[in-house]
Amino acid sequence: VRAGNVCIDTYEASVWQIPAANRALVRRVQLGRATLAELTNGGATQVSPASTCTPGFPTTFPATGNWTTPLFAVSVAGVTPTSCVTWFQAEQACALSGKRLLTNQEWQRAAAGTPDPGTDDGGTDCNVGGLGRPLASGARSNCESHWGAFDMVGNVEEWVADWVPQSTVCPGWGAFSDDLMCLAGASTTATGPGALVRGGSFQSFTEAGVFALDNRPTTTLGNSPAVARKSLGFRCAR
Amino acid sequence: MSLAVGMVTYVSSAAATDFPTFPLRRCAPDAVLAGTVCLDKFEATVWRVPNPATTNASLVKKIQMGRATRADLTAGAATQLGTFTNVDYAPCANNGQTCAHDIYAVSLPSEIPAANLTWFQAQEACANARKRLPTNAEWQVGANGTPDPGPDNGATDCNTDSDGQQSPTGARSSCISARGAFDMLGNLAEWVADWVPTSTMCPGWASFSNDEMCLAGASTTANGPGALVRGGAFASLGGARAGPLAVHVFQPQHSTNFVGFRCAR
Repeated sequence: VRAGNVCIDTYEASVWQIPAANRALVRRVQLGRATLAELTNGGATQVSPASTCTPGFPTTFPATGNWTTPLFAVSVAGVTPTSCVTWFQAEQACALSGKRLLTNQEWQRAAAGTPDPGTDDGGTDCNVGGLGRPLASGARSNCESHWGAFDMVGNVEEWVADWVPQSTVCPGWGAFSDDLMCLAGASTTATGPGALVRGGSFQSFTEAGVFALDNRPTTTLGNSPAVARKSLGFRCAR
Repeated sequence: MSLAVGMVTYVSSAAATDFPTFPLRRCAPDAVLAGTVCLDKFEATVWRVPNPATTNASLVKKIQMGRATRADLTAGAATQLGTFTNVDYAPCANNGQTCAHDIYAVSLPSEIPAANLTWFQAQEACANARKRLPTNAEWQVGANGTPDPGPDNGATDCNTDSDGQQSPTGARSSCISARGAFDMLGNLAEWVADWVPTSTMCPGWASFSNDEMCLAGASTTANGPGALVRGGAFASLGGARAGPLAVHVFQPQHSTNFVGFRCAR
């Protein structure tokens, strides 16, 4: 969808391995025209769907993003988006599709207007809690922003491009919003930078929303760009 | 030839037909070329355009093309928002959630630039005009070369110390950058895109510059991230503290009468 001067992917990204011989399908992906049917009929297989994170990323596309065999990020409805993906892998998969990660500002713009009731009716609201697992992209019909992007809130939380010092606390937004806000208390000891994560996930409940901003040290790697977890995916833009 | 090499070749040929071509050579008349982006020549004025999808669709298109004039806006019965102490953006709320196709940022000479709006409202006003907030790095390129005498002669120098409120855009004739953007220093301080942890102190730039530098001491308690604000302003951030190196950090949900913005694309 067009949001101001950028094109934001309508759906959270799914990452696909495409047979090297199928150059035409790669071309369709890079033009943003590949459908789910074209991918499956073309012998493409999805990597690390958020439902199970299996099959995971191959050794030819390691956590560092230093790939030797390309994988491609695609914006299609009807498949569980890819998670268990590091910032480095996400950025490379976007780039191989002729795209890039959104900046924090672009993410905020594209998310505007997504309804954020705080609860989840299990049917049309954003997938923020109760179900406890990610859904196929676009499955929640009311979870659409004014610009037409789906699942900006909940489902899988999303990497954006920006790096900052790793945070140490989550003071929230105060009276402004009940969404998560963890950009605070720059670590003086973390052995890596932090990358921003937006929107909250299928397990964030009221903390999900268009203002949700995570940069928490949830593992020994903190929220550094080298982290991968089941609730964390991405989308691309160009 | 490997798949990867062939693919890169293909991407660049697609860019020539489907996407903006680079390097940029020309900008719309309301903007100046600053490196890889078109940066608005003036601090943004903000307008509410009635009936943007119907009777005023052509006005909206002119705004988005960077060609709308004050006369065009008047003819379309657009109302100017955010001048001086006015806080009249509603229904576009502080959180930016209700602003689509409502408020439009326009880069115009000799108009009172808009203040009293949050980072969220500023970027919505840019987005409706098919623009965006510049990044900190882009803002810096746009500001470089603007004379920074420190004191303000009240006439041609950047408005950092004399008026006690924002001057009309471009009114201070010497306050122009090497790339041709006006009022990058002083007048209204300007939101840029970048977010950081909220700062707690302003140690300055030491011997490098007398401009203010407040990107320091990440808060552990602030209820909000910080967004960078650049250039200093006419008053609270003014005097010698304003300048091309001036950097302040305000929470994006904050608004005040000395912070405005400009757009880029």
